[in-house]
Order: sequence, then C-alpha cells, then structure tokens
Amino acid sequence: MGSILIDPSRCTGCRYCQVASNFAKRRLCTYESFCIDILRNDRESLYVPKICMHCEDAPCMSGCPEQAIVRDKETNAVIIEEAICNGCGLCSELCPYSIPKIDENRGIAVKCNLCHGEPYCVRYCATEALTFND
Amino acid sequence: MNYGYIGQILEIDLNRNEILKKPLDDDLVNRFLGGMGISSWLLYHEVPPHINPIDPKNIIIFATGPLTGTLAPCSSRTEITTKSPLTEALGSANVGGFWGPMLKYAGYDLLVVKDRASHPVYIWIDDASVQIRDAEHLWGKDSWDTEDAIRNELGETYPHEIQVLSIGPAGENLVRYAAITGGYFNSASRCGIGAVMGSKNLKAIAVRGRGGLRVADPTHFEESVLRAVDRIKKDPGYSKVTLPGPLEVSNRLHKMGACPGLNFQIGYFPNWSETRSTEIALQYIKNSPNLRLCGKGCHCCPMACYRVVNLPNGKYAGLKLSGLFVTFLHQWGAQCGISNWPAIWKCEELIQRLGLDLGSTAGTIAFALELYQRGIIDEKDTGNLSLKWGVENAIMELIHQIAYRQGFGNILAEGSVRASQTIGRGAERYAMAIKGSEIMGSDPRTRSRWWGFGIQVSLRGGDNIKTTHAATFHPGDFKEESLKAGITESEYLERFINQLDIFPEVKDRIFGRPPKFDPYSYRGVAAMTKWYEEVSSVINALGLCLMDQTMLTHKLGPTYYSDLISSCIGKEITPKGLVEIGERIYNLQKMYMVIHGFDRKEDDWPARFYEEEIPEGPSKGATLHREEIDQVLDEYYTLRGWNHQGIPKEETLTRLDLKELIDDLP
Repeated sequence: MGSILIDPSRCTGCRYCQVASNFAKRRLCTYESFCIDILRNDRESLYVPKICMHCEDAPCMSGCPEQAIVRDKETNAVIIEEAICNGCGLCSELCPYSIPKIDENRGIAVKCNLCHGEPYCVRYCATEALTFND
Repeated sequence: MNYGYIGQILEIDLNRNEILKKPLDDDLVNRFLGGMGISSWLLYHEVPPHINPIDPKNIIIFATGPLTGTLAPCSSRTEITTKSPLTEALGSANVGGFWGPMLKYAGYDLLVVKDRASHPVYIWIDDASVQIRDAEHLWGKDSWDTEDAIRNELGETYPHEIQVLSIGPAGENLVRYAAITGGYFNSASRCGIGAVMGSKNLKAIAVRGRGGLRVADPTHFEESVLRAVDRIKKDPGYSKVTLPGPLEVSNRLHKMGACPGLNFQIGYFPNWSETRSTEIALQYIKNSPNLRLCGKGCHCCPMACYRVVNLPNGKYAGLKLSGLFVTFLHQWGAQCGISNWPAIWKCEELIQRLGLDLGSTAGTIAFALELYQRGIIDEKDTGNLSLKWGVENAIMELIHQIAYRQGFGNILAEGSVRASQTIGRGAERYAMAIKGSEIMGSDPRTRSRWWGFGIQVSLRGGDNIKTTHAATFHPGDFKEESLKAGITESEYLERFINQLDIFPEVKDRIFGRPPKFDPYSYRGVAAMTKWYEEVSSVINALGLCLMDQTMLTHKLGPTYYSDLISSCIGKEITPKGLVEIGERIYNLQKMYMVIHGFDRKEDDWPARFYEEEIPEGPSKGATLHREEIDQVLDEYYTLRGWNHQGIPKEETLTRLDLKELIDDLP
C-alpha cells in the first residue's frame, strides 16, 4: 500500500511541498494548500509536515453521508470523488487530524490523493523529510 | 501581465496616509525585469543627490522579481532599495524567507514607502486590504518580539501565515547600519536600510497573501524547474550545503591564513582549531536538544543553508539561533577575536534582535578595539569600558550601546569612518571600510584575487555579495579534486570549465586558452568580475537567491535562468538577453553612484592592505600592490565601457538603452 512517510527532523520548513502540490493540482503557486500543511514554529525552527495518512479504517470514508470518499483500487489512496461530494465538511470533523479542507470556490472537500501514485510533494522535498513508500 | 508578475505596485505615503495601487509599467519590466532592476530605476528618479538618506523625501522600495514566490528553486527573495545612511548613495540589501512570496500572493510586485509618519506606525497588508496601524506599543521592542506581538494582535489562524519585516531599536535610533529583520533570522542588513525605516517612523510591515501566482506555460516551467533542481542536487558541492552548511568554509580560510583577524591585523590564530573550527561548531549543533538533520530553508529552497543551534547549558543556555554562516565567525571570531562559539552566537543573537548589520557592527567594534590596543582611545573615551580583543562582555555591552546610541556607542553608531573623523588622533587609518561600508569576509591580501576585487569595486561598498561572491569556485580544491578523480589538474580544470554555464567567449576571457586558473593572479579577474556582477544583477532582478552561486561548484547560469523566466512569463528572454539586462541594471546602479560623486578614488582599499604585510601564518608576507590594482582596475573599466575614472561612457549608456542618463554624466 502506498503511503507518504514523514521525518520531521529532516523538514527545513521551505514549503516546496505545499507550492508543488498546488502547482500540480491547480497550476497555482500559493501556500494555501489543500494537500499538505506544515505545523511550524519559526522562532524555534521546528517543522512538522501534516498530511493525509490514508488510514486503513478511514473515519472520513465510513462517515461520508454521500459515500463520496472511496479507496482508489490502483494506489490504495483514500480519495474524494469530486462529482459526488457536496462539501458538507463532515469528513473534516470526523478526521482526527482535520485533514480534508473545504474549497469554498468549488464547494467540495479536498485533500491529498497521492497524485495518482506519484506524489508531487515528495518529488520536490530535497531533504527526504517526505518519502513515498509504494 | 498575468504571468510571473502581478502587475501592481503598492505605494504608501505615510505622511498623507495615502494608499495607492498603481499598474507596473511594461517598459520598466522589459528593460529591468523586476526586483533590484526596477527598484534601482525608481530610486534613481525619485531620490536625487541633494536628498539626505533620513530625510522624509528618501523612499524605500521592497521589490520582488517575476520568479519570487514561484516553484523555481530558491525563489524567496525581496530586494530592498533606498538611499543608504551609511554610504549616502546606493542602499541595496536583499532578504529571503517568505515575506516576498507573501507580498505577491497578496497581489503586489513592489511596495514603495514614501515620506514620514507623524508617530510610530506599521503597515498591514492583508490581500487587497491595506492599513497603516499605530505602532506606539511596539516602539522599543526588539525585532523578534515585534514579530510575535504583530502576529498575536492580527490574529493568525495558523502559525506563521503572517510574514513580518521589522526594525529593532537600532533602526528606531537611526544607527547608520541598522538592519531590517524578517522571520526572526532572515535579514536585509547592509547599507543601514533599517535606519531609513526608522526615520519614517515605520516599525514593521506585515503581510498575508491568500492568493496565488500563475505561470504562462506550466509544463515547460515545471520542466525547467526540475532541470534546475536536478543540477543543484547533482552538484559536487551540494552534500556540503545541508551539513555543515556554509560553516565549512571556516577551516579552509584559516588554513589559508585568510581570516580578517583583529581588524585585519593578522590572518591566522594559533589556537583556532581548538577553539573556533567547523568541527567544534558542529558538536554544538549535534548536541542540540532537538536534533535537526537538516537546516532551515526559505521559500522553495532545496539547499536550506540555515543551520540551527540550540544551547541547552553553559553561560548562554537557552540561546536559539538559526542561520549559522561563516560570516559570524569571520566578524566576531576573527575580526573581534572572540574565541568561543557560544559567545559568537550570542553576539549574533543580539544584533538580530536589536536589528543591526553584522558586517558594520563587528567592523566598527573591531575598529574601536584596535584604537584601544594602540592607545588612541582609553577608558575616558569608552566610559570605563576596557576594550580588549575578544572580551565578550565588553563587546556585547558595545553592541547594546550602539543600538541605543548610548555612551561611546553613540559615536560608533555612525560607522567606523565617521567615528574615526570624530575621534581624530590618527584613527582614520584603522577604519577598514570601502565607500564608507565596513569590509566583510576574508583578508583581500591573501584570498583569491577575484574575491577581493569584487569587494573593491562593489557599488554598495564593503562586501562582494552582489559581485564576485557568486564566483566562489573553491579553486584551492582543484589539485585535491583532480587527485581524487585520478586525472591531471589541467584535465580536471578543462572538465570543470566545460560544466560552467558561462558563454564560451567569456570563459575564454576568464580562463584563457589553454585554460589556466591561478587564484593568486589577476589574470581573467576583470572579466570574471564583470560576468558575476551581471549574473548577480539578473538573479536579484528575478527574485532568486545567490546561495546556489556561492555554495555550488557548477552553479546555475543564464541558460537555466532563461528557461525559467521565459516559460514563467510566456515571452522568450534569451541567455544573452538576460545578461544584457544584468549589465543594464549594473550600469544604472553605477550611475546612481556617479551622480553622488563616486569614481575611481572610491574603488580602493584602506592603506593598510598596501602598506602592511600579513605578519604570521600561511599567508605571511602577503600584501596588495598598487601597480597591480591599478592595472586590473584599468582593464575592468575598459571591459565595462567606462572611462579611466570608472564613469560609464556615453556610448555605453546608449548601447544599454540608458540614454536618459547621459545628461547626468559629469
């Protein structure tokens, strides 16, 4: 099963992962990322990337009233079917880490989908704070 | 202008409380790209020679480039341009972190601040909403606490979504080398630009941008980005960047006997290895309570050059610092003679919090220490401070006095050159400054000739960061590397030169045919200096960082920058076209110096470097020779199309599409 592994001791807080994932999905350079956050304390130079773990028993998936959250057969990622999602936001409440975010423009929930098996955030992480285990 | 650029300048008049949003001029973009290019043009036209740097009529410009905030590697930079209180001419400093990208995401390429507020204020840019807010309660706070206080009062919804540039007490008190600090550890520090913010009663500028940036051709742009990242990561110097980072240079310089020891009196300390070596610094980093394998990085940086140290015990327990550059060691460890890392770092923490420039603060203090050593000043002048080399308490006390302009610090707050005139008694000889700005880095008598020549002709004076700093080839390593590779030194050199992204005719001018490279000769130095001044100008106009230039063996060059910018803005700028823009920007800045009366006589070293030999160590006997310096200056001016006095010729300005400036020629 593919998953992104995180090593905070290697994270430099550079936000390449955030900009790259936005660029991949929306062709936009911005920090307003739907895929990956970095919990940061610049004064202490501490950084912890926060990203969907695609849980085996994913509460967002089992709790979605529209059954819009499914497991991708190829990548095993927990993904949101954009055509079905109505943006109610329950998935975000059910997730212990509040990972799914609501894209107000499109009225749907959005989160990491492992970029169909080739995560952009991992590709751009120079220090291997993020690695992909497929 | 939809791609790369936002197309909007934010102009704020602090006296009239006026906030204007103006379109970014296409013609300026075509001629000067952005960043340092456009900001230098605005300064040239808005701040003529008769305006005093701390007069309300001086302006301060915060300029991003078209690549700032994009996916391009190392694209964090903001250029800050104003008239310098230190040199009273071009003030140009640059800062990384995340402030520049945020300014663009908020919807502005440049911020121009004019005039003076009647009381302390700060600017709050929250996307389209811009406010000038009261800062009475922040006045007096150091730059770290200012940042915390602003974040708290503006109510961040997640940590560090607001980016802040601020000044500390030094900027408020108009210290002529006050810095602007951002993200705690990033600073735009040279030229005293912090004092200009202070003179405008402007404590800070906070920005939050929730928008984004588009590029013209995402597919090609991404290919160019990955090509550039790949070149960076495959460079032989890359593994040294993350650990030990720029600290690594410490041992090498000492091996060369090139430390600026005791205000450039010595190049070598017998106890250096046991006290100030890279290995000892690394022990502190490795023993930090929160072990970090990697440094700290600015926006989209694969190099993350900021080392982090966290001292759990000892005299300075609790000290937390990031950005451990070798310059800390040069200025505090060598120039002021402090012999232990924790005290060196403590001095650094002090100047970051108080908002001072490293080079000028340590340079001015080293100047005072030498005056004390020579008996030119004594306790009567210093307010009973005993200014002995390396005595950390006295040095830290002076740092405080400078920032608050108290006691003897009030004289030193003017910089070493002005202080030497106030003190008199022959003190002038010991002000180690060029164009009024204190010299940073290694001793020019010993290190590779191009290194020093860049400092000598640098437009802002005192350092070579915008000139030959980018030409760091680690030439001392050629022999070692060729042995490792099992080939001859000339084969290694040939292979090395082939890898460089420099135009073939320029390579020939620098290295000759067959290629040779002798770091201690001036052969090729004029051509190399011109090349890296132009490349650095392009980088500072694009909004990229110079660190890849400094740390990597092969570096990125115009081919890479051309691919990035062309796919970003959707208009081809060839590598040659880019370098020409770099040359135009450099000549524009040079002209700003010329109209302020600077010429050949300011492109010169303090007398010490000609008249005194390095007394001990591996560089014993080294000195500069006037005839050699004159010869290379002539060669450099000719190559640049400048006259014997170092003033651009009319035809040079015409060739570079700077005809408007011809009337300003003396």
